[in-house]
Amino acid sequence: MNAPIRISPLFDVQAPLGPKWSHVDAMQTPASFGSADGAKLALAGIGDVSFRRRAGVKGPGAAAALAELGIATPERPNSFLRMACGTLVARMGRTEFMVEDAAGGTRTAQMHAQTPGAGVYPVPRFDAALVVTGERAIELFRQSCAFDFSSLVLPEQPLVMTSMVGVGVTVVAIDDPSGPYYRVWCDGTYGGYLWATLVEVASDLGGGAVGLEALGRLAQ
Amino acid sequence: MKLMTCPINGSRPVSEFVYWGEIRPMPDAATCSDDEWADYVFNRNGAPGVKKEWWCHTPSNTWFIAERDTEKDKVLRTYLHGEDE
Amino acid sequence: MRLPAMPDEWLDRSRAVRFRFEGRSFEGLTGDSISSALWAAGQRTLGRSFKYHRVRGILSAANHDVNVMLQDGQKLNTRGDVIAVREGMDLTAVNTFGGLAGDRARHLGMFARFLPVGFYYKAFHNKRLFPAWERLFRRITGLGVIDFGTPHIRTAKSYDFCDVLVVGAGPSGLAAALAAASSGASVVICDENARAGGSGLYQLGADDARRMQTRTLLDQVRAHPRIRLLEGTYAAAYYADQWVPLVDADKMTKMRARAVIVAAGVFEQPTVFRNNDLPGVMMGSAMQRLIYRYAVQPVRRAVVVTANADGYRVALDLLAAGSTVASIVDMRANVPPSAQADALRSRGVEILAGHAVYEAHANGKGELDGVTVCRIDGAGRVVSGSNRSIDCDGVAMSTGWAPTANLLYQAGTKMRFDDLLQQFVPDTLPEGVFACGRVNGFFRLESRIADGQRAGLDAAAHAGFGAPSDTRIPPESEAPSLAWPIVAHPDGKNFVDFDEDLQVKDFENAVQEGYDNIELLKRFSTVGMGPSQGKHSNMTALRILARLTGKTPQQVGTTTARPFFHPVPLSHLAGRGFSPQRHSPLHGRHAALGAVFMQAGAWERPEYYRVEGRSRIDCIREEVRRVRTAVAMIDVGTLGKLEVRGPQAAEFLQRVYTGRYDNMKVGATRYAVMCDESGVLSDEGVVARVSEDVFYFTTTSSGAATVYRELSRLNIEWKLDCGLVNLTGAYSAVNLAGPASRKVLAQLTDMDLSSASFPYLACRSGLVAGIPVRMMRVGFVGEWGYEIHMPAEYGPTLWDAVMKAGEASGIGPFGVEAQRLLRLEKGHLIVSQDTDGLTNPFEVGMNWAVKLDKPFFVGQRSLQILKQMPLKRKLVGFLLAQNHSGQVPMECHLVIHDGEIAGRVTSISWSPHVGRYIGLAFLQPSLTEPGTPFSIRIGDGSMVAAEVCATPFFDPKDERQKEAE
Repeated sequence: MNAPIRISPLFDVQAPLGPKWSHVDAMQTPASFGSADGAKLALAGIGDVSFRRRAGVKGPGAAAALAELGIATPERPNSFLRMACGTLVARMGRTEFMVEDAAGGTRTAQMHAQTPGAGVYPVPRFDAALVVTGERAIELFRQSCAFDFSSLVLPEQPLVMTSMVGVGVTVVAIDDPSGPYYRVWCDGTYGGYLWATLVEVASDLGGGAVGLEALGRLAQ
Repeated sequence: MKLMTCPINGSRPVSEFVYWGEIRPMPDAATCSDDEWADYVFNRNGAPGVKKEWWCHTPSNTWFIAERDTEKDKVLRTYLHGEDE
Repeated sequence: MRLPAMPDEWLDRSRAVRFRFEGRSFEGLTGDSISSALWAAGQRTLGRSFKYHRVRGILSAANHDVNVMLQDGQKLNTRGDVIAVREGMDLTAVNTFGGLAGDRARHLGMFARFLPVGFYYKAFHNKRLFPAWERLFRRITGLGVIDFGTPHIRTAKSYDFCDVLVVGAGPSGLAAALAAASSGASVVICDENARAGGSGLYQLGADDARRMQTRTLLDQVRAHPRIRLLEGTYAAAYYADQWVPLVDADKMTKMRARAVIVAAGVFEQPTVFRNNDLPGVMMGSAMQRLIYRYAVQPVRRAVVVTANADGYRVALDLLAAGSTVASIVDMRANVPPSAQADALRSRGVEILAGHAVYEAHANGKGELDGVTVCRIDGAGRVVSGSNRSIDCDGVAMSTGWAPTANLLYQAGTKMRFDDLLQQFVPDTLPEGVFACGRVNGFFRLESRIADGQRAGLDAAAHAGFGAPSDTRIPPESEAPSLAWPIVAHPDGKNFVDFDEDLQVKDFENAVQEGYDNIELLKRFSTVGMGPSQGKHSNMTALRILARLTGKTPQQVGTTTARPFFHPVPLSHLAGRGFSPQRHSPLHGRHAALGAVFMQAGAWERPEYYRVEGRSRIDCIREEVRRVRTAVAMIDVGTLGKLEVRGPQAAEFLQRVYTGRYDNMKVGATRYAVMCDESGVLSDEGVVARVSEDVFYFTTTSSGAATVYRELSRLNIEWKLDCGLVNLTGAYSAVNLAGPASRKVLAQLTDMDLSSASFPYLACRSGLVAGIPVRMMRVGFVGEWGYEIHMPAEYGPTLWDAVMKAGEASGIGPFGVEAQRLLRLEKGHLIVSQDTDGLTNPFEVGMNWAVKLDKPFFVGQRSLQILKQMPLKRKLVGFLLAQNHSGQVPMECHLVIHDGEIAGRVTSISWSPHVGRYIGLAFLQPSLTEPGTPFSIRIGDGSMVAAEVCATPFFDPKDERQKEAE
């Protein structure tokens, strides 16, 4: 039997916009919402990378369990790192971690295969995962969240857990030569609301939903 | 809106938190009288003063203790349970 | 009359603006306020007063001038002194009957003696006359006409952040911003006026050096990289921890600062004399604003009534604007020597010390054409026989100020009345809040700037930048405000509150009637309750009350200053609202099947699936029929789904639920009841033992978030060796139920579904349609069925596979309503529908689920006590008569026995299986024997007969769960 099809938590809200679709990692994902994607990306773009496979683990033994698999963990609570292979490792609080595979990566599969040891509690994750880009991203957050994202020190690879449009989110700010951008995760069942609301605010700022083609390497 | 400081996530508007209540010692269920138990379950001390309370930062589900002066409406300090020096 | 260009005028002289006012065409300049454009065009009558409909002109031109309130198309409450005039505006004055000039209510003033203070209360006191009064008041009061066709405007709302927020961009505020920024703080400075500079750019006394001092500060502020200057933006309120909503024309910004500096200045207060409201009588500062902001000559020939240095500057500014100053009427016995007084004398201006304006006179249009002045004694009493008339078309009132301390009060500042200044000043400021300038009691320009620098350094230091200041500013030596700016007159019309048309005698009467406390006086007289919220009246009212009751202003105190400082449009407050919607991964599948959604907490759930041409109830009954006779599927993904893992996982569950879990076999499930410490049933679910150390368990949909949170807390407190994971959003879940469910499922899995290998209430893991799942054989709806739990991203794929496999068996979806009926037939309760905030497990027949002999569980001690006490009520099943017709009772309808309340209905529905209405009800224990008749009182008060009945109504022996061999 073939691997079953994965459905993005954002599919229901994206489909009515009629994007051009692509299939990545067995999940249908918008490749493009139209020719304006690039312009939106530069101002306030909302991208969808829910297709990335991710897995979580928490508990006092979590960091050691990851180390056993050769997965590096950030030193400080509420920060993230990017491994050389492209795997993103987020540390939420002291003892919880989320690992997100790079394209074709197998880290999360290894985590699923690992038998949890003492003090290791696997956390299955099927989040809605967004990319927020553009020079007006901070303004977008100011209209949707009471946390001051401009206060983040980007080289410290910070991670923030806060409430955005009333939804609990985890956000990391990524320093990039093209300017900072943000990754936002939330419980998939709130994903549609978060995505649609951020797209609405972004539209006021000249941005909106963008597909994978415009995101390019920012979707990595 | 008031601010509250989560020991892990820092200072945030109080809307990101849930207040549980004052930490109160539970009487020994095996030895206490029904009246003592009922007093523990139903009665709360609302007199102003310094209270130790459970609070939770909900986006991260972080529980912690806040020492709050309810007379001055001021949070004196916050720390994780069991990490009070 | 428009003057030649002023150096800091707000006008764009290259662009004229044409607009209409009261049906007539006018022309102003871009940058004009509505009031200034009209005044420049010679229009003096700009509005009508609220109560007596008296003709009014400009009073303060300071953003709180309620004399000029206009309707601008669909926009109400347009203030003539704030709103800039726009091309094509069509304005009418509010509060007139048939237009400003011919207002049919203009003679109301003659009936003034029938409209005494406290009139409303007296009128409304009579119950019989109330409806008539109400109709009258509704017709004659209110400001403007609402257009219900006004479009819905959605405004953005945003958060913002800074180290130091400065409220007010006058000389002290500008100096404060610069000092704070120079310490390294990021600064936001806002000003309600269209342009910054404050009084520093108009209170000049024709001295350009004064203007240049402010101009220089303003240029530095504009150039500073760490300062953001927000003009046309007012600080609407102060909330805890330096949270200040900033409101501009387009939106509200919630500004969070580390320190707040209030440099909001002072409001000029009217001098109280007869007819002090005639068009042409205005604040001295209003005349200065007209001159320097709008280049409008305020009046041709002015009398300046004053009691401070500011009035002398007004006189000099008037001279500079080409006006004549007929006389300076100084209410102080002696005029302190000053360069300004000398300059005025040298230009031949008469200065009358120890004098007051006794009354003002109107011409035929009701506008000012002269005053009578008189001598007053040291206590402010009129010296009889000293009257003298002066012709003039303007009176400038410059006798005192009140602090713009609204935000300071809201922050909890303790204020002190300073006898020398005759003003309230901050005594003790709350942490993180600072004040400077005139609101802080400093009036000389150099003191204001120095005080601003001090506050800026102090605030920056509080925010973590630099060191606080050690400067001490020398106190003022001359009072800027007069203790008694009030002139008695036998014929009254000496107005204290221009919003509400309150005269001096109204206060005397109110005090005589016993309202001698400031808060009572306010409510009875309505002083300060008009649109300007007492900005021009509270201080005078307080002085009057103090004198009438023999107290000091300090003893009288002030009324509570509440948000907002200025009326905020509701569209700004509403902004873009956030109300998170939670959708199951299967939401799109439901929508495609015609689901009618209902709100359940944050979730939207299918109530039922609409079928073309069928009624709601028929759709629901068809769904029920399908479950009972074939197979159907419901989305139960909203259930809370938790996992506890670790050597002490069983111990953890033993403590949080009432039952036993340590003796469960792997692969078994068990019903679970949770209580709070008082023994009240708080949640329920199913616990499945997945492996020795791993339990998977469900909670109610509504309890999911709170149960997970509370269990996390208990896990911290108890320090057990186990960890809790919330899978509610990560897992999707469906219940596949009905006689054909096994046949359908068998097509999709290799798992052995026989009763022997997968019995009722067992839990198994495996693959269904290639998707990893956890399955439980449950019987909530009373049929053979499987609760299938799977990763959220596979939910729709599994749903599709099951629907396809079930086609031949007549599968369909079923919604929440069908499930409610199915479970009712089975006698299963729903927590928080069939239980309430006081229900304990014994009342709902769950004694079997409570293991009081365990060492400990939450609520155990309370349940032990409750167990010894007689039950107060019991949840039982009931039936209506076989042939019941007419209205059907609803949930929460009361059971009445011997004329007393004896219980209530918690669930009721028509049961196709029983062929009668069935339900659950709480009843007093004496009524709970099966067969006992009782009565339910329905909405119209009539009684419906019902009978207690044993539950389940359907399949009491669980025959449906047995394998049919």
